[in-house]
Order: sequence, then C-alpha cells, then structure tokens
Amino acid sequence: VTSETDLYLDELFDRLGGTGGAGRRALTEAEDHLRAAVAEGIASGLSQERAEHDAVARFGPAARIAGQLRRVHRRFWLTTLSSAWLLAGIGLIALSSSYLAAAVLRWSLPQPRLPLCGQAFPAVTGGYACTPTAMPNGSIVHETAFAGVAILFFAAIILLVRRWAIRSVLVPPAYRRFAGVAGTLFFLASLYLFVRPDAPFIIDQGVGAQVSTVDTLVFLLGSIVVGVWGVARGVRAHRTRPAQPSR
Amino acid sequence: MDMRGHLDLLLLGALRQAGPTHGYALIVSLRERSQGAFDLPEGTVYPALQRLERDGLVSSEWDTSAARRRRVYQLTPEGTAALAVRRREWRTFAQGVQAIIGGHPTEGLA
Repeated sequence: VTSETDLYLDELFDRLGGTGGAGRRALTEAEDHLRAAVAEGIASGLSQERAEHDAVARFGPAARIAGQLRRVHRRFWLTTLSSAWLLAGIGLIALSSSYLAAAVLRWSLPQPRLPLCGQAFPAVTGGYACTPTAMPNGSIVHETAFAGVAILFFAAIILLVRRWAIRSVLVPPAYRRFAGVAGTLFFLASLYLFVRPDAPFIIDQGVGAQVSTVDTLVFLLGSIVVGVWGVARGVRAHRTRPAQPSR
Repeated sequence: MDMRGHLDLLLLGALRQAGPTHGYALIVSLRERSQGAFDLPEGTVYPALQRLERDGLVSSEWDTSAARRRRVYQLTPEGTAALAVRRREWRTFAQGVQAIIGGHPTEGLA
C-alpha cells in the first residue's frame, strides 16, 4: 500500500515538472522533512498512519508549495514561449479539423462543379483559388483532405517537440491558467467566425451553407474541450489537497 | 497570528542564532522559539529559503554526512547585513504600534 507521504511526494513531483534542478532539490528536501516529521510523530506515540497524515497536513498543499517554488524560479519568457507553443499546436489541430470536416462535407454532398474564388490557403490546398475553370469536386475533396492531414501532421510534430523540450527541461510547462485563456480565445474565435462569415481565411465548405459554419463549430467545440480540460485539472488539484492536521 | 509578511526576517534571525542548519531543524526551531505562534505550512519555508538564496542573503550546500543527504543553509555576509536592517525596521514598527496601543509588551501573556 502506498503511504500518504509517498502519495504527497508523487503529487509534488508532478507539480514540479519542468523546474529542473530546483525542483529536484525541493523534492529531496520535502522527502527528508516528511520522513523526519513522521519519525518524530511516531516517537511521540502516534501511529504510522496518523504521523504521516499530520506530517503531510502540516507541510501544506503540494499545489501551494510547488506554486511558490515556481514563482521563485520563474522564467517568464520560457513559460510564455511554452504557452504560446502549446496554443499554436492546439490551434493547428482546430484548423486541420476544419479542413477535414470540409472535405467530408464535400465528399458526402458531392457537387460536380463549384465556384472557386474565395478559397483560403491556396498555397496549401494546391492553388485552386480563382482558377478560370472550375475544378471537379473530387479534386477539391482530395486537396482539402490532404491539407487537413498535412496540418494535423505539422501540429503533431509541434506538440511532440514541445513535449520533448519539457521532458528535457529546456522549457517549463505552460502557465497554470493556460486552459482558461486558450478556451476563451477559442470561444472568441468562434464568435468572430460566426459574425464574419466572409473572413478572408475561411474555407469554403461548398455545401450551400454559410461558409464559416464548420469553422465556427470547430472552434466552439475547441473552446468547450479546452474548458473541460481546465476544469478537470482544477477538480483533480482540489481532490488531491491534503486534509488538515489532527489537533 | 499571521506570520506571512515576516517570514524572511524570522528565517534570517533563526539562521543567525542556529548557525548552519537544515530546513527541518530550522522549522522546529521556529516553532519552539515562537511558542507556537509560527503556524505557517512548514513546506512554505523551503521556497522562502530558496528565494533568500537567490537574493544572496543565504547560501546552502548538501551535507552528505548523515544517512540522508540534507541541504544545509547559512547566512551570507549580505544576509547578516540585511538582518540588521530588517531588525531595526521591525523594532521601529513595533515601537510605533506599542506607542499607539499602549500597555507593556508582555501584558496579558501570563
């Protein structure tokens, strides 16, 4: 059975991710402190469980201790870079989802010929914007799907490299409030797309609906997913908060 | 009693009295010498010590002579000077408050 002290140290370890040598040192000191406090509690007549419970509770919430350590060693620009990096990766996933959804819509509701002006990202999608002769629907489906897969691949590379950089302690994790900020940005993007269906970067879904409908839904869904992720992190942090010491 | 605003002064003072010491002993010393008034989460002492070290007021090194290696802290000359300044500031502040609220500092502590 894992002891309360070990559970606490595991949580502190998780929360100190990306802090490098300072985090390792803090973890060593916390372990030494808790072992000494438990030994002292047992020597004074407490049971092992009660001594561990009291030592952990007196030490304070892992989130608070880790937060203070992060503030001492905060590397503002690196944390900002890490947050922006993550936001770019998630944004590209939303963009690729929009392309793939557009491809599926065109494929499921085939239209033999489509007006082509107003297409976005012609360099990515094969330059079929504003061509004098309309392209066959199949070509547009293929090219849009290809663009979606290519952007998704690019997003995966960005996120994997970031993950590697965090594990290698080259950059710290994103700010704790990242989920809230990213969710808000996604929500604002969905609102913008809803009220500006003629925005120049919007993909023409070519299904007779407002061209921004899919993009709006993708970004709205993105804001919900990121928001739920942020709430789940908050709930998890709350649940793992230690109890008060016995008096 | 809220000790948060005075943690740096308390740590510098405790280190001056105790000499080179590790975190747990420092916290026990704070708890006993303050007669229970030190009621901050004990873990908050370590970030505070690292902050003081970052500011050059405290230095530290690993002590590997015990069964578990421990980080031992001690005051730097800059820390000693900072302690003297903060102690003067605290006494001035305490005298000002005392002059307003009146009575003897130990009154009602029996």
